[in-house]
Amino acid sequence: MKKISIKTLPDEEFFVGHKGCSGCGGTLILRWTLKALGDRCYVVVPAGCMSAISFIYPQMAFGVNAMIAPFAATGAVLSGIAATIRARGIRDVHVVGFAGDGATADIGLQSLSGALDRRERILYICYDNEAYMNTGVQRSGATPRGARTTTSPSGQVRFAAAKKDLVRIAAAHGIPYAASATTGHPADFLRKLDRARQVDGPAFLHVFAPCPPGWGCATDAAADLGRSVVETGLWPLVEWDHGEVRINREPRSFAPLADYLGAQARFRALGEEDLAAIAAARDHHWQALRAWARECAAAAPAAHPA
Amino acid sequence: MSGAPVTAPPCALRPFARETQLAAWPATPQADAGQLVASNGGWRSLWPAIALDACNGCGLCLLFCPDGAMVWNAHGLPEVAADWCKGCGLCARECPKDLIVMQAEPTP
Repeated sequence: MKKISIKTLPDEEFFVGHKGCSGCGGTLILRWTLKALGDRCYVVVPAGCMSAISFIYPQMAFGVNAMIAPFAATGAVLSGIAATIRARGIRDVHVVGFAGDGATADIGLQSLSGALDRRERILYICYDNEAYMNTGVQRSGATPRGARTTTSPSGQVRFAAAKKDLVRIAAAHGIPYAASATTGHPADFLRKLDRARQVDGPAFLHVFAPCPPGWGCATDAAADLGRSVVETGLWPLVEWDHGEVRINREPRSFAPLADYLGAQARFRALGEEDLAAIAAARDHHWQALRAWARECAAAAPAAHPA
Repeated sequence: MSGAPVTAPPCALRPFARETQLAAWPATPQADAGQLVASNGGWRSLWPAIALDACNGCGLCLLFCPDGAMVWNAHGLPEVAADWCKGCGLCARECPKDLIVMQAEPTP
């Protein structure tokens, strides 16, 4: 199996001609993934942006087999396909799901949990644009504190729940591999994709995917926001690999929050107090993350068999 | 300015004959990935102009294009496929040598 990296990415495209918005981060993740995995791929997308922009009659944006699953059923359809091809003796096909944060963290969470529990060889990629973008920017369980959406118009820093930690939710199932990545770190993303496709069992990737119309950011900001969200500490790059937790990038000091938040209209209403609350929540999240990493390092690896 | 907009492989425009009889329409999507039945070029308000003489062909603009609209030309340098580019400007922002400038659409 050839190693996946930026240098070995082939010229072939398996996701082009879609009608995604200009500068869409989610389509960038899809394009990279399918380029890297090649044509031996079965793709499942639930109802959402990616199905709305790819299957536009009389044209198809996917160059591989792809199907639309019901909103809540990405995980179920993935594990069904994986079980089928296993029964038919097909070994060289990747079964990949691309779901947004709504279809992963909220509506499809029980289906994802079931799929992770069934231990089929599937690759689940959540492109996280932090709200229900396809239906017009409604708040989801993965919307960060302080972000304006049409259903959380004030941002609600002090009242809203924290963003669901999808990597830890997936890791809690004891699956072989779960990791977070961004559009701003393609080498890191492709390395994690390479690892995810090789493990024996379900793998989960949680990828930061800017949405220019939903976030009110510039259309050329998808990669830049991916870098600044990591530098500000709001999106830790972590990796769960067979019970071991690695924090891939630990900034010695976090960049000012304004570097990231200031580039997006959805955070425009935030005041000093809100920013302090977001910074405090971030610091707490990092403490919990480091504690989790230490705890997993101290535990016997046999507690999480491959 | 790197010349007129082009449409190069792996992308191709495949105009779709709009039948008037419903029965004449195929039941499933007929154009695969890599074919466009209607150009995406109309989405664009700015055009990425590449200063090719200083380009070293690092390929970051190809990597970061969400639409796969940046392709290699015969000289191993990037070229924009006009029907595919939506003018987002990611290539210009990510070019390490700042050789891509978003500017007004070249008039044919």
